Parts: sequence; C-alpha cells; structure tokens
Amino acid sequence: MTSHTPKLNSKTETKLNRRQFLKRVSTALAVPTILPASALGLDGAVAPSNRIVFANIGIGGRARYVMPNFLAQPDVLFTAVSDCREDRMKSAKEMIDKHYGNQDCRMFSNFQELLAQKDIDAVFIATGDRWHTTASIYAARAGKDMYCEKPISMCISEGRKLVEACRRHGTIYQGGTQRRSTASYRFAVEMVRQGKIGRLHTVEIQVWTGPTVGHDKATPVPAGWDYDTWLGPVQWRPFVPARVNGWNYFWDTGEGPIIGMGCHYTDQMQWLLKRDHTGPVEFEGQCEWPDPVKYMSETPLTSETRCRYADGINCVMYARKTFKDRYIRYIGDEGWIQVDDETNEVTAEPKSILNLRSNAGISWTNAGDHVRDLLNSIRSRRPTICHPEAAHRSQTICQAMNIGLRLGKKLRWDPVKESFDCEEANRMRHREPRTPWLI
Amino acid sequence: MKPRIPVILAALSIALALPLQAADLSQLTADVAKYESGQSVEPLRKFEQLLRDSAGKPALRAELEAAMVKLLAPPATFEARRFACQQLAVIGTDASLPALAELLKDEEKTVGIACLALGVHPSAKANKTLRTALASARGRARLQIATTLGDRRDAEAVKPLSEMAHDNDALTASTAILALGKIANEPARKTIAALRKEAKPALARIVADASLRVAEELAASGDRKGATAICEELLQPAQPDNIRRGAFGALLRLEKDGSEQRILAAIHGSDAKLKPVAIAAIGSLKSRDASKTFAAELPKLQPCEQVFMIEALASRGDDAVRSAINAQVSSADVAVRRAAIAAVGRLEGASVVPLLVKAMAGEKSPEELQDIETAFVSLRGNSATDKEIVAELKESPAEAKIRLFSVLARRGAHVAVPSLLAEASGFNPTTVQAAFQAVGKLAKAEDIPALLERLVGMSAADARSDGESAAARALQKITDPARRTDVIMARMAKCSDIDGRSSLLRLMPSAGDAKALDVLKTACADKEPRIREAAVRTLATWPNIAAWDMLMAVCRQPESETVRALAFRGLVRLAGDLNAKPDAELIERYRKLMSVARNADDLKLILGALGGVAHPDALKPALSLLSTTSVRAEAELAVRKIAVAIKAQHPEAAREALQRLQPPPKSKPSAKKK
Repeated sequence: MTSHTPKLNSKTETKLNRRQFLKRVSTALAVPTILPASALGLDGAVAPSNRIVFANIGIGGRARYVMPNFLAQPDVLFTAVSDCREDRMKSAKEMIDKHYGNQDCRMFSNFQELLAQKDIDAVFIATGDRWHTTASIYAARAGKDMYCEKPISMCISEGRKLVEACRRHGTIYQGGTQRRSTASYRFAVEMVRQGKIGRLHTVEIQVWTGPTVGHDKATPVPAGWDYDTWLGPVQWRPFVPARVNGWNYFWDTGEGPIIGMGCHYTDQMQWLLKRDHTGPVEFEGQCEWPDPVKYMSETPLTSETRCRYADGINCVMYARKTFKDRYIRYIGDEGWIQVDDETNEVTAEPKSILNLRSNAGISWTNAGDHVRDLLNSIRSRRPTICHPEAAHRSQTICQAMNIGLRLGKKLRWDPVKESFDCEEANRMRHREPRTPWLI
Repeated sequence: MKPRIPVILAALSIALALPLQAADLSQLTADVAKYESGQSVEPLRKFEQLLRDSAGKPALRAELEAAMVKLLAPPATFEARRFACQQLAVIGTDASLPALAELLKDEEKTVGIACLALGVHPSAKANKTLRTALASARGRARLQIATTLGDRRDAEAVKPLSEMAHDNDALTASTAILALGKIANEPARKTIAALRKEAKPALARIVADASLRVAEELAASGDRKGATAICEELLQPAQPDNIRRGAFGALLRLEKDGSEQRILAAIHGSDAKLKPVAIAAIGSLKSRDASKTFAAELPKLQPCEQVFMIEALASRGDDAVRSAINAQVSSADVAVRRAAIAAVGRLEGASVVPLLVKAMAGEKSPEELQDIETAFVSLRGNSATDKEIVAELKESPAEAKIRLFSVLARRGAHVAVPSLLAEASGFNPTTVQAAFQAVGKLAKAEDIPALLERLVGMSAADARSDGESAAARALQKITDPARRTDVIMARMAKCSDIDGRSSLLRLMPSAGDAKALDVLKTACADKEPRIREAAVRTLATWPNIAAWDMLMAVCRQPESETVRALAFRGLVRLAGDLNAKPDAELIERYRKLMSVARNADDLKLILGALGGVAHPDALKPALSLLSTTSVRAEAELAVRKIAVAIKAQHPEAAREALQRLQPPPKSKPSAKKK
C-alpha cells in the first residue's frame, strides 16, 4: 500500500498474455460471459478460463485463516497478494503457490498496483479495520468484485459511502458476516421465522469483556514498518507500539467487541427480521470504561446496550464474561432458541425444536458456503447474501450503540434519513479521512 | 433500561463527575495540554466527561470550547491538539474556527486533525476557512483541504477545485475531481463534463466515478433527462465494465416504466456484460406485470441464463412466476433443474409435492437428491403439506420413501407418525429402519403404545435396534419415569414373543426407576435363556449404580461365561462412572471387582478403570498387581496415572508409588550418531 513499483516476474507477463489471448478468442467467438453450467461449480468441472481470478489485500492472520476457503473452490484462481509487510506477503505467496503447485502468485506492496491488474476479477480484503471501507471503495472503482472482512466501516458515513460506491460501480460485494451461511445460525433463524418460539420479542446478544491496553510511549517507527500506510485513512498520530498492536481498542482504528463481534449478531437479527434496508429506532446503554490511570485504551470494558425497532422488538447486547461465552438468543412468547458461537451448539425451549435440525452442520469456522454464495453472485450479478446495504445496516446498529455510550445518551434514530435526534451524535456519524485516500 | 452494572458505574461516575465539578478547568486544560502517550489519560477522560455533562448547558459548553481552542495552539503537544480536534468535531462552533484555521496553515499533520474537526462542522464559515487555506496550501495538505471541501459540498469551492482538476499531477487532479463529483452543482457538472471529453486515461475511472455521482444528483433533483444522458454516455462499450454496469443500473433506476423495456432489450441483445445485470434487476422490479413478462422469457434463454433468471423470478415470488419455475424442475439441464428445485422449495407448498416426488425419480446425483430433500423441508403449508407428503408414501418406491421419511422428520410432521408406523411393519429392513428413525424424532407420549406395538410385532429383524432406539427416544417424552415403566410393562404383560419381550426389556434403562430394575431382576431368573441373557445385557447397560448388587450377584453365580463376562463389564463401567468422586466406598467396589475377576483380561479391564481414580487408596490394589506378569504393564500405567493425579495433595504417596515402577527404558543410542 505504498507507492513502490510492483514486482512483476516473467511468469506474470506470461499469464497476462494468456488471458489477453483468451479474451481475444472469446470476443472473436462471441462467447457470452454468462458461463455454461459446468462453470457454476455445480458439477465440479471448471475449465481454467472459467475460473474467477482472485487477489488478496491485507494478508494477516485473519486472511490466512479464511484463505483456504477460497482456495478450496474449484472455480477460484488466486493469483496475487498485497500487504505493506513483505514477510506476510512472502508467507502468503508460499501458501498459495503450494496449493497450486507453481510459483505464479504475484506480490504487490502497493494495493493500487494490484487493483490495476486487468486479469484480476475480484479481491479478498482482510486488512485492519481502518482500511476496510477505503480498500473496498478503491476496489469497486477499479472494477473488482469483493469479499471484505467485517467490520465493513469505521463510521456510519463510511458505510453509506461504501453502499453508494458499490451501487455506482455495479460491484458484487459480500461482507464478512459469514454466519448467514452457517447451518446452525440458519437453522435458528428458520425456526424463529416458522414461529417455533411464538412471537419474537427480544434478541439477546452476548459478546465478551473488552480488553484493555496499558500506557505506552511513542517510539520511532521500527524498521520494516510502513506506518503511514498502516494508518491509511486515519489522521496521523505518533507510533505507539501498544496502541498499534491493540488497535482494536482505540476509536481511531477499532471499536471493541461491540463492533468486532456484535456486528455478526446484529447482522443475524436484521436478516431474521428481513430488515436489511432499515434498522432500529432507539438506542441506549451503559458501560464501564477502562481506568484512565492504568489504561490508555478507549473502548468499553463491559456494557449493556439496547435497541428497539419501531414494531417493539428489542435487542440487548451484553459485553461481559469471556470470549468463549458469546451467543445469540432469540426469545419469543412461546420459547427461545440460542446459538453458542464457541461450540456451534444450538439449544432451545421447547427442546422439540431441536428435532427439526438435520445435523450438527458446519460451524462458522468454515466459510466455504459463504464463499460459494459470493462466487455465484459474481457470475449472476445478483446481490450476495450479505450485500453492502445489509452489511452497512447491521453495522450501523453497533456504531449507534457505541455513539450512545460515548455520549452517555439515549438516542432516537431515523433509519430512513439515517439521522439521530441529537446533533452531536449526527456529527459522530462521520470522520474526515486522511488524504491521499479518496472515498 | 434496568441497570445491571450499577455499582461499578455509580462508582466510576462519582469518581469522574464529582471531582470535576470542583476542578479548576484551566488546570485540567493545562494537564491535557501536556499529554503525551505513555502518561495517564485521566485528564483526557475528565475532559470528555465534562463535555458529556455540558450537554444542554451552553455557558459551560462555551467555556469548554474556549479551553479546547487554547489546546490547539502551542505549547500543547500534538496529542493534545489532536484530542481537542476530535472533541471539536463533535461540539465545535464558530468560536473554534480561527484556531483551526491556524492549524490549516501548519504542516501536513495538523491540517489532517484540523479537517477532522472541520469535516462536519455545522457552520458555513468553516467552508470559507477551508477555502482560504486551500489557496496557499501545498502537497498533501492541499489534497486534505480539497477533500474536506468536497465532503462539505461547498459550492463556492468549485472554482479552485476545477483548476486543481486540471493539475498535471494525477493524484491532485483525482482529489479535486472526486470533490467536484460530491458537490455536483451546475459549475461542477460542467467541469466534469469537460473532463469526460478530455478523456485522459489516467483519470478515466475517477472521472467516470464523479460523472455517476453527478447523474445521481441530477436524478435526485428530478432531472432525469440530464442523468440519462450521462449514463448513456458511460454505457458505451469503450468504458470499463464496472462503469458500464453502474451506468446500466443507474439507467434502470431512472426509467419511468420500471425499466422493463431496457431489461428486455438487454436480455434479447448480445451484450454479455450487461445481460446478467439485466436479469438480476428483474427481482426488484415493482410492476406486477414484470413477473409475467419475464417468466415468459425463461424457456427461451440458454441454460446458464435460465439459472440466473430462475433466481431472479424466485426473488419476486408471486403467482405469475411459479408455474414457469415449476416447469423447469424437469429441465434437461442439471443446473437449471437444481435452481428450479431450490426456488420451488422457497416459494411453494402442498401443491408441488407430487412434482418434487416425481423429480426424485430416475438417475439423480446425491447433490440433486439433497436439493430435492431440502426443497421438501422448506415447503410452506405445514400440516397440509405434511399430509400431502404422507399421501405420496403409498405409491413411492423404497428409495423415495426413505427420503420422504427423512423429510417428514425434518419438517416435524407429527401427523405422519401413524403412516410411518405402518411402514415400520414392512419386511425391507432399510425402509423399516428409516421409518423408525423418523418416528423416534416425531413421536409424542401418546404415540408410545402404538410404537411399542409395532416394535414387538416387527417383521424386519435387522431393524430391531432402530425400533428400540425410536421407542427409547419417545419414552423420554414422558417426564415421570414410573409412567414410562408402566407403559412398557403394560405391553410386556401381553407379549409372549421372545424377541418382543427382549426388546421391551432393553427399554427398561430408558425408564430407569426401581420398578424397571425389578423387572430385569425377575427376567434374570426367567425360564427362557434368551430372556435371561437379554436381561443381563440390559442390566450391564443400566445408567446408574443401582444395578451394582444385581450384576455382582450374576457375576458370582453365572449360568455361563458369556453372562459372567457381560455382568463383569457392566460392573467395571459402573465403577468407572463413579471415578469423578473417589471415596472409600469406591475403593471397596474395586476391591470387590478384583475378588470376582477370573483372568488377566478381567484384571486389565479393572486396571483401566482404576487408573482414573484420583485417590491414594487406589494405589494399593494397583501396586498389588505389579508382580503379576500378565498385567504388569497395565498395572504400571494405572499406578502412574493415579500417582500423577494425587501428586499435589499426596506427594509422599505418589513418590513412593512411582519409585516402585521400573524406569522407562532408555532409547539405545543411534548407530548413526557420532
């Protein structure tokens, strides 16, 4: 993500030429880009020229965790990676090359150079959170479809800009809330929709107690760090090792577990309620802030935040206990159903609901179905299961919860105008990005 | 909202709020001004709390803003100035503009934090502040200010931005072009139109982006003609694919007739880039006639296009699309069939049951059959659909029946229980097994007598264990264990068939009460050997220690070695189940087990369980077997496990026990090692 010149090797050139050749041939024969059934991945046979060519932007731990789900798809060809850390790029290249048994994966320290590659159809974005929207909008502008990790934005206005950019560029976008494609969560949603717990009145969500980051001094930027690129659209501040490592717990660069995990659950709630284009109307909450004498981190430790939809359905999100204790529970007037994220276990009352589950299914840790949904959408050009508007709306809920906590206020929200009843809260919808990043 | 964490919140609130009321604001400001990373952030948090508390208190708010203005100037640290800008972004007024203007004159980093405060500043004067700064700004600072002016949609900034848009530096030009696209007023539109004509390759994408923004703005203001003209221009084949797709989408949204004609034209045309976009747009068309129009197109399309069309029509979901989709369930193309089947599952109810049953016939891949099953499960109509599926059972071949049983179970179709029990009377073990498996999931308490009837009278012997599993599962629906036993005994009283009685005996652990245990005790003395064996086998699986004495009695006076071995294994299992709470009574049970052990295999079994007893007294029986060659290895393992488990509480006993073990054999040095 710097202005370094990309390193193109001879094999890259060969690949580009081959694809250019294929393009010419396909144009000459008037072959439609709507691919034959065999390319849909439904019968397993995929001609190399029918593969969707992917590249990665941001190849840290999360990207390496998700990457095998892409590589496992027969109609995906992963050809390039980009990161501001060369060690990570090399490691990812090794992983991809090993999978394909060649040395073809290209590396770009500047993601804009990667986006300029004409052979790349789509990108998998797994940067730090602060980069998600910016990288996504740059990808959309470059004509790439994409999967982007959650949280999809750092503020409400960023999310709206993302939605508009994808619409403006006809982009197929999928947010990383892959539980929409996970059997246990789908089962729970289906049971509620079928009325198995009666009339739904409350969605209870639990994320974990937010970690803290102790005080640390500014230091010179270490060798091998491109801190300017690391910051990206975040307004400059000194390099502080603990703040950089604990970026998730500072408002500039992250928003704590309420966003980090909470958006998975608000996404489920929105999906269940079929409210991907709207949202709740009221937010309130209380929280426990880190002790400022001991810690410099900014996001809450524990919290209890609530929101309410216009029809009276309530949501309560607890941030408490440990990472392993996260869950979502749908509560109706005749029972409840809960999915525990750590174990993928579904529990319910009445227990007879569980008889309707075909099998234990695959947990969220396997994102294969989510990736398949994206690939199908890239071909059919229909929105993905987690399209930009859906991702933005579910994330808005978490962002509104955080804004309410930071202001210490109960807030009313107009989901049509995307506006609070409070000027200060409205001003917190936006953060001016640092140039030269244009969104 | 009910506070759940009131104590800690109250404490925190008091700690922060009370001292603040008495605090000297100037001292607090001075503390914030010195802030550098590594120091306590308490002054910052106190300042934030003051800001929260000042909501609705204009005088206090003004005082705080004045304090923040001081923070913007030296000698405040950069971190302090950044903090002040973050707060001013939320509460800043005209009062802070002069100080922010100074930051705009400064180096790049303070320009950034100033723009943080100015990006959503409510005053129009902020625009003037930014424009003034833009005139003399250079490099990245210039880009930052231009971006912020664009985000603020400052109409008066169009002139300088238009000049920047023609800068030779692509980044500078791009920044200005994007800002103009956001402003999108008449002068900005003219500049962007001119840039489209100039068609500089390096700026093509950003100009297209800005142009689409302009089209959106025109459309929003009611100028469809102007918006359409721009989109038509961007739809040309020379434009990048994404721009064409974006323009096409924008045109569809602009069309007064709901864009049907444009979609139809694209579907009938040869533009392969736009065809899928056109099909995908069908789902969101508002006109009711659209369903009929495009459903009629479905049979005319290529198979791969049909797949996309089915998805689009299914998302409309109205009556007009259903028959068209249903017809594709029998398509010759597998992808089309599978798309249609999935859509049918989402849209339909009882009426399509025969269609889906028919779809199961013939050579089908497991994936396609799975799709059909999923579609069945998803069908609407609850009871009516369930009944329709049940009705199809009669005429369906065995393979289809099995799949339908699974479907009924997954649908929770209790209405199917009588039919499933009828199927369970058949001779085909695979069918009977599947029927019982479904019954196990569906049966309620009132179904148990009929289920037991079917179990004792079943013809397919290979499916007996499935029948018993189903009955055991159904019995759990009766909450009172005594009632469960009564139900089983009632049927047993009428049953003379040995297999049937054996099955009923094997259900007794599902009841699990004393009466059920008595039934087994009686059966252990039955005149019929198979009944006696069934009783002992069942006792050996009894879920709790209540069966201990009976099993011990069998073990001491067995009628055969088989029966003894069964009882012995049951005893070891029961002892092992108690390992989690080791006490003297448990040690005594292991001692008794050793007394009835007959051979080395028995001892190995005991040692396997004994090793899990974390109690010092468990060492003695294990150590006593170290000298028995045939079980020495198992005894050593047991001693080692017990010693490790008790080491913390009984270090001496553990050490002594471990000393009696032979040291693990040392590996011989490798010949290759030098």
